[in-house]
Amino acid sequence: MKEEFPADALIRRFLLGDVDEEERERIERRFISDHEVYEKIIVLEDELIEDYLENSLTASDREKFYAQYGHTPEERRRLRIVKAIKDHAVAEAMSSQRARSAKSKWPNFLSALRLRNPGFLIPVATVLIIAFVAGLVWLMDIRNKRAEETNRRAAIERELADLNAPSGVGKVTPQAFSLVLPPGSVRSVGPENEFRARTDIRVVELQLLWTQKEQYPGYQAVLRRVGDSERLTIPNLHVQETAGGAAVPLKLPAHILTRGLYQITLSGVGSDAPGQAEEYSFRVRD
Amino acid sequence: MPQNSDAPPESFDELLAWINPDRELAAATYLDIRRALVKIFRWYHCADPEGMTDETFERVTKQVHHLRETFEGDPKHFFYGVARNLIKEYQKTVKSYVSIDDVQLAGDPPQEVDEESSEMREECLSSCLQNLTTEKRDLILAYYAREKSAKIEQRIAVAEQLGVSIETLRVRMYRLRMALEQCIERCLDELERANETD
Repeated sequence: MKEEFPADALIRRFLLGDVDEEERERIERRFISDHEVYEKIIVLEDELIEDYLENSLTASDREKFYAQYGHTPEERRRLRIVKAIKDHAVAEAMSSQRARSAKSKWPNFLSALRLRNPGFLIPVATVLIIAFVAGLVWLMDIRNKRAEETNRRAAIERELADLNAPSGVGKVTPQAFSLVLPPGSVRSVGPENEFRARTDIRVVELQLLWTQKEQYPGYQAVLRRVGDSERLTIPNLHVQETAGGAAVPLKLPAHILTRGLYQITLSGVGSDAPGQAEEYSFRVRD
Repeated sequence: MPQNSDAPPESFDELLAWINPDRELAAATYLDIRRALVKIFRWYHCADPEGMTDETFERVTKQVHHLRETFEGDPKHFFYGVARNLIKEYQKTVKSYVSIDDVQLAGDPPQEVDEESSEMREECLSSCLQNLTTEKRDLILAYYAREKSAKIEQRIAVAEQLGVSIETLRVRMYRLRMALEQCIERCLDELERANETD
């Protein structure tokens, strides 16, 4: 009787090095002797690599994956190559999509204007001119709003960069509120990850605990308020040893934080492998 | 054929005959075993998976005459057993930090590979993509064109277009990507060597 196929979940655990020696040997034996099992495993391994590169693994699986597939410089190079292939394909698809839509719009529009009766052309032209002028006004308004928004963002990013400049790290900030954040998703936010907005608080000092084994020359944080599309990037952060373990300090001006749930993605940068990332969450209450 | 083999060619014929009496099937199975062994050695982070696969074949070839008369069961299991022994030997060597001369068995400790620049990667990727047929190039670009949840629909559409199942497509794409990866690795090695000599 043919042996049953190992379940996908078991194969994933096997690939992440999360099975005992006996199970490992059993799966490897099937891998070499049963062609269907071989194909299933290589496909699931491929899926796992893609999940890692798309940042879709849990923090613990990422760690296990990296131990298995980022163990040697050659393995890390292989990961960078797969990432390059994927990025190239995505970029190609986007540029050909843009080219297609640019090509297809004008011929369609022009063919719609091929009216049999030329009498229609005058009202159509009038409507087009009015639409063009209205569009122009609308575009200028949007442009002004965008410029204002860009200036506001630039001011915030400058403020964030100043607050988090290496010279300011470790300095005591007056009117600051401190919060130690372990990694965790927005679902794990509890009272210990909350603070109340107060007028006397000027700066919120976060200590983002870095629990990954791998440390990096630098870190980058991306802050977003859950439900908003705006993202603020804070580069050039550095890990420090604190009483609670390794942590990356991050200072935020209190005026940019309004009531709601916030998420920070902290990624390692500047190493020879795709940087690992951790997520942190906190809530601001009135 | 096993590389650097000390065994005479007739032993290799005997090995194939032991794997399968049908020579064509035996050759295909030989390649399957080879691919699987390389992968297994890689899972154990062996420094030279291809070399250790050669060594496995070498060891089995040396015993094949005897095996044909005595071994009962699937020859693949025997290959696996030999590979397991090699892995244990390798792990012992790595753990004890004893330098060895037998390059094929364990290889040198992994050399630190300097990270290539993204420009070098892009250059090699473009050149290796150009080496593929238009059909294969379009296929790999279409397969990886989307990420996360969007990729599932995209890949189903690609499979439908080719008239194959999604599983078949995934295996086909794995093989194609492996070939592309190997081409890029070779290209990067060449560029790095050229940079060193400059």
